[in-house]
Amino acid sequence: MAILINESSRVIVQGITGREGQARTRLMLDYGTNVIGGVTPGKGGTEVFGLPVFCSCAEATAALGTIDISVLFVPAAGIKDAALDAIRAGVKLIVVVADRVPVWDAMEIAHAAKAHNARFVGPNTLGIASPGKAVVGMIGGRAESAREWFKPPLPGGTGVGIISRSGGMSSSTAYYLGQAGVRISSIVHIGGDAVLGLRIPEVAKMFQDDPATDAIVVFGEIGGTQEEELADLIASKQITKPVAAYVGGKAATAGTRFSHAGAIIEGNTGTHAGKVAALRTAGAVVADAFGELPAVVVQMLRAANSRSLMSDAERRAVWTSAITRIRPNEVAVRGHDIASLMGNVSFGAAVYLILTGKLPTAPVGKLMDAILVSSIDHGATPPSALAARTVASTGASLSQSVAAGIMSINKHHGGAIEDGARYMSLLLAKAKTSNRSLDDIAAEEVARIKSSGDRISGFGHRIHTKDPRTAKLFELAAAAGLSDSPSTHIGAARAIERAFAAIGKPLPINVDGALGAILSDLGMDPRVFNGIFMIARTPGLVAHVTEEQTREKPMRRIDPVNHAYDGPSPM
Amino acid sequence: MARLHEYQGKAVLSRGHLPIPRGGPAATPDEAASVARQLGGPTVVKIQSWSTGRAAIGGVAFADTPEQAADHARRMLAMTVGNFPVSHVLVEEKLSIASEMFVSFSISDRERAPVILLAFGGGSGIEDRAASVKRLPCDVHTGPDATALAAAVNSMPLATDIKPKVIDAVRRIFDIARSTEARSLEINPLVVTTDGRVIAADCRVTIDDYAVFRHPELNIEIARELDHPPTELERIAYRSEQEDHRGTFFFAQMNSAAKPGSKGLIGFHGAGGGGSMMSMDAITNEGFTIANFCDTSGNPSPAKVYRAARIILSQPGLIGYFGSGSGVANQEQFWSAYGLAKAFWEMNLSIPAVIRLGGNTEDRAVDILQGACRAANLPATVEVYRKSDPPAQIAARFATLVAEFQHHATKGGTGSSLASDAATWTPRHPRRPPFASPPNPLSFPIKSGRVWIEPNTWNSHAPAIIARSNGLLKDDHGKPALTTTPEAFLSKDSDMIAAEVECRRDGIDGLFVELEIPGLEQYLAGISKEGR
Repeated sequence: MAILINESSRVIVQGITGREGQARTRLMLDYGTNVIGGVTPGKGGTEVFGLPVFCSCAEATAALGTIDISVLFVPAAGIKDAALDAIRAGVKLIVVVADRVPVWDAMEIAHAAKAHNARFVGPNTLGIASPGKAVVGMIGGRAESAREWFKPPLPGGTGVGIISRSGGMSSSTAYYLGQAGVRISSIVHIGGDAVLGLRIPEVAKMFQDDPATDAIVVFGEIGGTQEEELADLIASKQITKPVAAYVGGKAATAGTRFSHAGAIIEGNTGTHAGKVAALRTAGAVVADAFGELPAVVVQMLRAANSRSLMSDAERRAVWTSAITRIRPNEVAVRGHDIASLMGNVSFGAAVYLILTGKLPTAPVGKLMDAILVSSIDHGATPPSALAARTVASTGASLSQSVAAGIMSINKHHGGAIEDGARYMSLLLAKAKTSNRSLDDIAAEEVARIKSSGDRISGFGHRIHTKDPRTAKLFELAAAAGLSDSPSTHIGAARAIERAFAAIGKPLPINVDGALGAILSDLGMDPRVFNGIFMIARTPGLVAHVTEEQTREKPMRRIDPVNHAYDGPSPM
Repeated sequence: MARLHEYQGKAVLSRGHLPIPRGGPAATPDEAASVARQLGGPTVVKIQSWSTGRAAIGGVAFADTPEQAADHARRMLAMTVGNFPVSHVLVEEKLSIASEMFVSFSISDRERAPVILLAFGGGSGIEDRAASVKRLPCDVHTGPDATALAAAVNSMPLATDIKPKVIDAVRRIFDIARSTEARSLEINPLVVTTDGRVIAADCRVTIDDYAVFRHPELNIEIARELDHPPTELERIAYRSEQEDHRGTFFFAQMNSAAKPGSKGLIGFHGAGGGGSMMSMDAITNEGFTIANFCDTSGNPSPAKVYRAARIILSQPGLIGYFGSGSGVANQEQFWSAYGLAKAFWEMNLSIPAVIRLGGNTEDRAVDILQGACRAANLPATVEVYRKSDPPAQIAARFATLVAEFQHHATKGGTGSSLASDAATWTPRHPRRPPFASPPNPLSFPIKSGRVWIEPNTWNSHAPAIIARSNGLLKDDHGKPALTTTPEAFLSKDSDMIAAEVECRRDGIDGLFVELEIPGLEQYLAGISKEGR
């Protein structure tokens, strides 16, 4: 959990084709944000980093379905129109990054948002980050900086929520807290303008309701009444989680604006002293200097027995890994005690766990087992078996020979799983963006392939016309709840198969295609697909190597084709 | 918020058909007499300043004759309010007042919508009558609710025929605020005259800075909140900001002399609003007086940071230069490092500087600025820090450096004063290599400036300069040439500033980027004359 954005939030970028829009989209994708498309009036039909671009938010929602968040990389003068476009299309959270948005435009956006039950962050926000999950806006800058600076909660654990009126200080606060061993659930830079969408009190209430947040840290500023309103919420027990704050602008003088339009002292309201007193009276901890804030927060978290604090070992660590925790007398894989896994989950389920971080349901576990079994061996002819046997015949060790076999698993051997999966993803995206049926797209693709003579990954086999493994895999996939539908990879694979049949050139889904489609529909990362093949094939390679070492002469000439099977007949 | 003087505000009200007293502004006693003569009858003369409580300082006076009006104007135009001389008075008909009201339009951050406050009995002291004030929330499109407005006005002890006029006036105030995109618009008082007119006797109008571009009719010079009319240096800063939209640059002068008991006056250069304020707090806690507030952020171009540094260093009497922002900047900090390195070299910076460039690309930024300053062999120390160095700590380090520098500078001299002249900054014209001026034909225009190349050393320096030019320069038969079109080259100022700094750092003196700051040269000439 986190607030406002997580790894599955569906995000679009308005102004995606602009210089800033493109650069920031790249950074958001790099961090792992689920960006699904973009909008630039007049640029519909083009693509940015493979993402579809639409002319309006209405077109985008029609093609992509629900959009959770739209982030606007649009200059100030165009913000009102862009925000109203998103609000009217039903987007429920708008992130307005632009600086210098006229305040009357902001009020009109607020008016429309209220009428459509939408919310907005900004204007003049750097954005929102939920560490380890997603960022939206420009917070953190480069993805590697954001990963280094913001420490995420442990799986199922908690972090502190940060609310900041300053963009730079939102990153700073998160960074210095991280250095002090504090994990962060979400960071919200609410923006520095006079009229803002989400304000400190509302964000504080979201953190209050978020189970992954167990304390709140506020970087406040002079001007306005937000800090005082937060103090009221604490005093009236609407906020019960511990709150620590720093209020900037002690040295500021009345009447002058210090960069942020909201940071202006008017009359006697909004002063530094008034805000600090209100927060302290309500029970919040206020640091006098920003440099003291991390220590103040750590002390507050200790007192509250918070789970957001890292252990000393974690803080000392130069780098971290989230796969397996080893302690004396304890081994825990992805948070599961190994002894409790042994004898209770199958190897396939354990592979799923270690690759995805989650334990599969029973049918999915069974499907994983089937997938591993399906690829355990394919006789002595595949390049991996030949390579392993050839190296074994030179007197190499078991590890060397098996490694040689593994090294031959590449783009053209086993790689079809990943390529096929990506190809089917492409078809799905095409169907969605062009609003046409999968069969339509598949027919077009098959015609294109036929005329260009391209090879297509995941279809046809050099030996089988009806691969025995495919049918069984699809049967188990159906049992695990995966379906042949217009929105699934399995559906896309079937559509291609139908399109080939229709032109009288049957090219059935092969085992690689089936694996790619199924693993994709299981939500696994295509980057590990080749790995699953390696895991599955390793027992076969071990068998080939030992057979070579025990049955054959060293340095023999291995004929790749002319050999016979002498084992038991299939039952 | 861009503030309007009373007479400017009243012109706006008048255009919005809200009645105002007859009258007009005057910049001289003669003009005041002339306005009074045209009005006929008794007049009121008011200083045009942004301060409240003008009556208490003698800024409001009644005149029975044009001569009296001129006398008042003469006295008022000699006044200084705050640090700013009065440049205009407003001469208006003296109203015969039956009753007064207070009407204030503002924007509620809490409701994200406009709100109008309305009270019977205007004039001063409205803050003490808070209970009698009616609050009318407004719809951003349509203004105050008609029923609520009527109820508020009907509760006031006004004649029946006056009430519709007051309702109409409040509606007009909303319409004027909306059409001018005001942040606030206060009419205090709205007057009912004995002859039954409803007139805005005084007004305070501020326009949303960010909307000023849509309102050329308002003739607003600097769309920024300041507690004073803009200084010449602030005008120069604002003008240069208007010409470069890559990032933001904000500059406000705060003090022209060190406060009593302070360690001295310093130039302040922040990055990012919150980080700047936090850093300003840190350096103020350390006992320094800041001459100015400055913020370059939002991924500023090096040219922008350069210009900011030049403008900061146009303030006399500084004993140090302190730069610090959030410390964990989301922007690419190395560009800022190039801008500062260039400015410090051109200024031959002779006061200590501490600069914190923490954030994205901080290692590169520190290397550039530290390396360039070392290579330049500046008379004073420049130290550069990262995000791991907290502001309070570098502020303390800055204090140590300044104290050491002052100590060395005074030891050699005769002075017994703490801040000797030798250790105090005198604004100066920038250094410029001899080849960076006509008749050298080797130059290429860039955005608000020009790239100059030394013709005599091109042959030997060409490979080194080309290698540092990010592929923008080439050699064409022994002469430098562009690899792009001249139009495309115009926007390559950042790359060329980087090239200049990198070249100089490596001892290659053959490339110079001239960056204009309109008005600064004249300003520097002016203050050096004053100094003598």
